Amino acid sequence: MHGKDMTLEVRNLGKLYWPKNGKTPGGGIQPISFSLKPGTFFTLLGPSGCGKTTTLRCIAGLEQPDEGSLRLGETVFFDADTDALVPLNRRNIGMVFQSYAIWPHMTVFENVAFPLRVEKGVKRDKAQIARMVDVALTTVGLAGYASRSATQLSGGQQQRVALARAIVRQPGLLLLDEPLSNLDARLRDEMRNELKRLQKQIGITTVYVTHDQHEALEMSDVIAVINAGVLEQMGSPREIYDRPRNAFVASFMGGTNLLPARTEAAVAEDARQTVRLEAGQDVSVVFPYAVPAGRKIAVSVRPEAVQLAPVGTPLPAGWNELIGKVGTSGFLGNMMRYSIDLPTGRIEAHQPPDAGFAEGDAVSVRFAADKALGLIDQAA
Amino acid sequence: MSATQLAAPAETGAEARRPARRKAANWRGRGWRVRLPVFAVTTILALLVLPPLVILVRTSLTDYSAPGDDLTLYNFTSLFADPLLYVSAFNSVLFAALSTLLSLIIGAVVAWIVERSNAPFKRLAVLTTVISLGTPAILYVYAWVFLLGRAGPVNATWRWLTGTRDNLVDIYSIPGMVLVEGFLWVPLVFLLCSATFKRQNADLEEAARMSGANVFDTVLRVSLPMAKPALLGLALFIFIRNIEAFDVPVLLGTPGGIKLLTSDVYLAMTRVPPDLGHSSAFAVIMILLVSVLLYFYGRVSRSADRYASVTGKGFRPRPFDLGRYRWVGGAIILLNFLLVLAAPLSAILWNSVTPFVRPFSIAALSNLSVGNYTQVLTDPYYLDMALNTVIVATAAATVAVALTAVVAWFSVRNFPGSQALEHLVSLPIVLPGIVLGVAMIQIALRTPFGLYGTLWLIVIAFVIRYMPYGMRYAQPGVMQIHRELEEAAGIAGAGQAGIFRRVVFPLLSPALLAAWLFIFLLASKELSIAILLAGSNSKTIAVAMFDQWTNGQAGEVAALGMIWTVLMSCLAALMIWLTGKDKKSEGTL
Repeated sequence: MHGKDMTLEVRNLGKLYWPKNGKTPGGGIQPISFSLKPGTFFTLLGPSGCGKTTTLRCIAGLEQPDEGSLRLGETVFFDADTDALVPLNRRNIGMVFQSYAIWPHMTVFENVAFPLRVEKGVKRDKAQIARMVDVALTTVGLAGYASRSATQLSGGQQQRVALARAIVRQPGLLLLDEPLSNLDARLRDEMRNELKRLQKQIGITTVYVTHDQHEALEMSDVIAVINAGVLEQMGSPREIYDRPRNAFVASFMGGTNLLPARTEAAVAEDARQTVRLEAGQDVSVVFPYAVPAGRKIAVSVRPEAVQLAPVGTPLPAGWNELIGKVGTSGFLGNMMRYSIDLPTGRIEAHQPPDAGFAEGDAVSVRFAADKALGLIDQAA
Repeated sequence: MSATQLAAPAETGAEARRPARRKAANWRGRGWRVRLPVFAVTTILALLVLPPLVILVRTSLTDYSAPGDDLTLYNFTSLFADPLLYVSAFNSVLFAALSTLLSLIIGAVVAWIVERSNAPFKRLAVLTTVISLGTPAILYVYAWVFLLGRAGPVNATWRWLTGTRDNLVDIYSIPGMVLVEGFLWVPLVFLLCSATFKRQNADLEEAARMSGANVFDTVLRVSLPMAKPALLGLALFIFIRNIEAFDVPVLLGTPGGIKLLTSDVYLAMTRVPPDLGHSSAFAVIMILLVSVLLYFYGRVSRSADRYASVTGKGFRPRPFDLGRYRWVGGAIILLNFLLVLAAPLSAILWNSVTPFVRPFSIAALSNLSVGNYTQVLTDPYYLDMALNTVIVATAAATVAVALTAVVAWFSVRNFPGSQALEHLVSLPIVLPGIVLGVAMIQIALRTPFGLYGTLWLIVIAFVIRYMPYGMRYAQPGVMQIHRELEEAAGIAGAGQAGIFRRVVFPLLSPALLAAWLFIFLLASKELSIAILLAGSNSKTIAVAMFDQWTNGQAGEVAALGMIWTVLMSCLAALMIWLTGKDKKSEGTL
């Protein structure tokens, strides 16, 4: 943005709200590190209470971390060792809040002009402010709305005002805290594309917080999956979806069937190996990461990778087969969703809408070995 | 998501791990830049609130009859040895309890009819409230003395009907005092009850109706139990205010020979020479009594929160259809209007246009005059009093509101070092007006510069007394401001002062304006403090009315009262309109 290197460097950033003990699992975030090149769209993804918003608020300066350091380009925002701290109003960051935080007593123009008026050490004349506000409003598609009262706007428009306010003084970093969660489903889809387009157009480094894996997959360059304050995996959307680090990441990134098992011997990365499920059957699975011997694992099979067939249908080479009974079925328009009762537990299968299995039918459940991932189950 | 809410219990944990860094956990900033303003406000509050308490305790422990530096329990032992204390205390409690019951029954019934039924004349109830809030209590007492006095229309009619020489009511007795004090508090009970009933979720009542209950059963089994904690809290609050009541005990009790705690304090102070030790000991006992009551009030009102069935906005309770009994409801509202407003007001009006005190009669109509009004409007004495009142009430309301706005912001947002603020600002609640008056006199006598007898002494006393009321508006006001609105301003580059000026204050201003008007109204009719502190040149309207009445200038008091009531009613209407518009501070008196 400023022609300088505006890399965001986060080193061992940690914050502890209360320590882990018998009663509570411990709150806050374990030390987390990442480095974002200028223009990256980075998403912190995780379930409610996992610490993703805390991380974002630490970057914003709304929370003070306990340890680690935080740097944007040349500026050290925070360093626990040197006790350096730049207060939030001097960080030149743009942020869109979950509630939008549009000031109801100001017009759209006043809301967007606010960061320009309060900036320390910079005096801008009226015309300059008007021009910058106009540019920001045009960018978000709200040209002509300047004189409206902020409270007269729809949710989507308030969202755009919040965005215009965040980018009006061309900040070094844009933070988005679940900005789409208050919109209805259709508007959310529309804004998702709009946000992505805008981010690319301005080329601003963006940190995005969400619990919605679809949003994360569609918008991000890099995703960090966080659970209970711990960074589980960081990578591109495809990497996270196709090669989840463990059973939590696999189940959080879209629905999956997890079949419990245990490794007998150590397994190398990308090895294909036969393991015995806890239910007793042997299945052939692929291990995207190395697993030591004797670890509890889960075999992850996506519902769309499961095929159903009448019992006795020949099995393609390299496929696994389990025999079960159709428990429930549901017609979803574009597909049939079946829940198959296995001797131990259940497995979900998505089939073409013309599949005709009746409830109670015995069926052959089958899936290719390279669609079955052997993943560490950290619950053990 | 809930990671933001994790911030709330932040104070509890992690102390062990990183104690050093806990201090700076707030994004508001660190170091003296945030601590200094908080410290300054804390100091101002402490300087206002603590001296009256300290000085009361100190004088209550001083024996003025045997001068010396030693602290002694003499005042207390002589007080407790005096059977008069127990009589006064019993009278006070009886008077307060019965008055509370009376105002609660009338106020709550009328409020329920207005808020939750389809009875006619609803606006009449609101009008009654508005005008009553604007009327000084002393004027009410005066009107009822005229109506229920020995020569008043009620007793005269009774004698004429029965042919006896006995009176129906004796206003200078506990029942008479209860009647007047009870009517006096009906408007406020109505206002607070309305807020409670308005918040009740009609879905719960409709569920009862759908289960087969009739209107009566529904009210008895669902509506009333739901409102019970709120009503109980309200009853305690009114009871406390009645224990502190000054006007009725002094104006009706003293002539009737009925002693109450407040009138005892007042009499001890106005004796020559004033018995400071005795009245201070009395005052300390009153503070303890009120503190105990407040403790229970706090517990009750906390449990009332659990019953709040409505939280969202844009909610409209659906009224009950009373059917044939609609007109009974209307009649009750009408009766309330007649008793609480029309009767006393017409008595005052009558007195203001008759040259001398005389009962209602057709014959007297022929020599009505506006002489009292011309007298009041042309006499510079009254103009000075009015000016004094406006100055005192304006200054007190402005300072109290400004202080509480900042205090509420600091304490709601947990600024570093702000823990003591909330307690300090609500401490004066334990001080009844007359007690605060006693304390302020002693403070004024000890200050080297001439504070005694000036308007500023009254202003300071009023600021202390009304700060807790300001807080009742400002605190929920700040809580209503979504914290992200402030965080957004911080991120956008504003400092704390900028956030307050540009975001918090504008959003808070409707609540602050309502608070200002409320305090202005209370201060302009407050008698108990002003009467002790007023010098000959620093009297307020309420004190002037008191003086003129005791001097027998009833007609002028009435005329003055009419004019004042009209002016104050306009302000009261503005306040009620504002609090109605601004839902968050509703019912937070």
